[in-house]
This record gives sequence, C-alpha cells and structure tokens, in this order.
Amino acid sequence: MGMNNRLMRPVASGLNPKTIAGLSLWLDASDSSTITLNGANVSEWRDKSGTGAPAAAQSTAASQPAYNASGVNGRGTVDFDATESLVFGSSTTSFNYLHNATGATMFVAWKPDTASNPDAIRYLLNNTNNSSSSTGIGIFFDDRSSVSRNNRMSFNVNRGVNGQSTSIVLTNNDFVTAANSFFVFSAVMDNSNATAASRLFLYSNGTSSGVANTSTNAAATGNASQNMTLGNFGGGGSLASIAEILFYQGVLSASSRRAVERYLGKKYGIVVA
Amino acid sequence: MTMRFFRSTDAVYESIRTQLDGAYGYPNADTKTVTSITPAADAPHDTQGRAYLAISGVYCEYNLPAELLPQFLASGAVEEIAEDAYRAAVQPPEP
Repeated sequence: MGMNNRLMRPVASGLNPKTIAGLSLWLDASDSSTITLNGANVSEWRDKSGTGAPAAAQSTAASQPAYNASGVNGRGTVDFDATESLVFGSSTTSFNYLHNATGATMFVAWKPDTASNPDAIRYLLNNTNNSSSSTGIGIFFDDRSSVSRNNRMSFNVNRGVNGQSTSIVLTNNDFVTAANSFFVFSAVMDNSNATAASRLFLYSNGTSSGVANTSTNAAATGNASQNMTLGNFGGGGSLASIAEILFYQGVLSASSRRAVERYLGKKYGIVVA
Repeated sequence: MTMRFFRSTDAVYESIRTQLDGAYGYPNADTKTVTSITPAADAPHDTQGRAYLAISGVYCEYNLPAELLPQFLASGAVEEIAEDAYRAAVQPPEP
C-alpha cells in the first residue's frame, strides 16, 4: 500500500519568520544550503533574512565548529567545541540596533553544553570585549560554582563609556532548566526605554526571568567594539550547540515574540510556554 | 570535548602551521578555509614572547596533528601546558 504523500512531507513549523516585520538576521542550521562545510566542519553559516547581514565564518580549520545534520529533533545544529567560533566579518556596524536606541528582539534555539553541570561560562554572542569602555552586547550562560551561579544567563548591553552599561540582566539560578538540553532563549532589548526596569527582558522557553535591569545610562550611539562572535570568545570557551538564531530590529509585540518562540519550540521539539 | 594547551616559539609554531596547511591544501577557496591554526602573529603571547595555542582535543586526534604532535613534544620544541598556565599567561577577558 502506497504512503499518502501528505504524510511524507516534513512537519510544518507554522510560521515564516519573515512575516514578522524587522527580521534582520536569520541563521538556520536546519537549512543546509546556508552552510559551507570544510569536511565535517562549518566554515560559513549564511544569513537567510534577505537583508544582507554578514555571514558567520571561520577561516581557521581548527576553530571551525562541527555540523550535526540531526542535532536536535532530526534537524541540523552547529556544534561548538571549547575553542571554536564563527565570526561575523566586518560587523562592527552591522548589529548596532542591538545596543543603540533602535533596540531589538532576539531568539536563539540552543544548548550551552554537553554536560549537565559544566561549572563554567559558555559564550553565546559577543561583540564587546567586556571592558567597561567597550560598546556592544555580551551574552553567556553561567554555571560557575565559584560565584554561586547555576544555569544562569548573563546579558550586558555596553554603551562605550567607561564604567557604564545601558542594561544588564543576570538571571537567577535555574533560569535554564538544564545546560545540556536545547531551549529557546529570547531577549527583548528596549535600550532607550526611559524606565530602566523595562529595558531588557530575558525569557527561557517563553517564561520571563523575572529579573529587571537597573542600569539607567543612555543607549550607545557608536559602533560595536568588535566583530560579532558566535561561540568561543576571548579564549573563554564554549561547548554550545546552536540550531537557529533570529534578530529582529525593534521591540516585537508580546504576541509576535510568542509566535517566534512557538515556531522554534515546534520546530525543535521544545516545550514553550 | 577537552581542550589542550600548547606553547612554543613563533618560528616553531609557524613551521607546524605551514606543514598542516600544506598537507590539508589550505588556503582552500571552496571550503572558505585559509589556514589550519591561528597564525602566530594573531596568537596570544606571554611576556617571554612565546606563542600560545588552545585547541580542541578532537583536532589533535586528526591524522596529521596526531602524527606531528608527539614528535614536537618529544623534541621539546612544543610544550604542552595545563589550562591554568594557559589562562594565567594569556588572561582572557573576565566578565
């Protein structure tokens, strides 16, 4: 008996992210046509937002992450070992909306590590070098027991003025359910909001961290201090697996944010609130 | 998934990189790959001018690195060091 063709089609993921205005970066590891391989490793991961965003690339073989064609829910992932990274070339002006008054909404379907208790930082996205006078964003998973951190996310928006950040949120412990499980991380950066507590919101699988920003400095006006880096940053290490990343310019409505979170949840088999 | 850490003079470091690039055929435009390991000029250095390399243990198990590495370690031209020593020398940014 022949199989119904409709049953053989891939499961639809429900939403085309391009239908929500503002999409400015879309990296989708399940779309192998956007990835250039060097053997089994990824040398380039290209944007498919159609906005001309730079590709994330790595020209040094030993620093190239691996491609796993069925990393999560039967879909592809880019898997970073501790020393590996992809860098968005010449991108110090490409992602200013992340740290300036424009603001942004960001989504990442990823897992920070392969172990349940890595007792370490795992870098996600960084274009600021963490010095107090650097401009850009810094996002990392933090599980360092030495400073009593367990499955937290840290998100800094630095404005390039000595000692000043536009916003900082360090979530409480157990914001991330498990270091070695995929989850949908989302962030809403309303960098110019006059109310400090309304500037930066972090979500894990659609649930808010409940931690508010308290920084009151103005948003940055300059370019990022460094090219945006995905994975290992400054020798800090990352064992992350990343399935998909979306950046939208501006603050999405709550309903649009939830739509993208559910799109990612459905696509990767992640339960989203 | 372990990282390994090495240090050497720039001259030794570059000779290894050149051997690896020759064997792998880098630069390779098709794979958008320029070189095997970070050039010495871009690698972190300590106050004595030694170049440092942090690298995936998986990469060290590839055929050519697995063949070359024991030779260089045995000769003393390359020194494998502990992670603490690496971090103390290169001081990555601390959040």
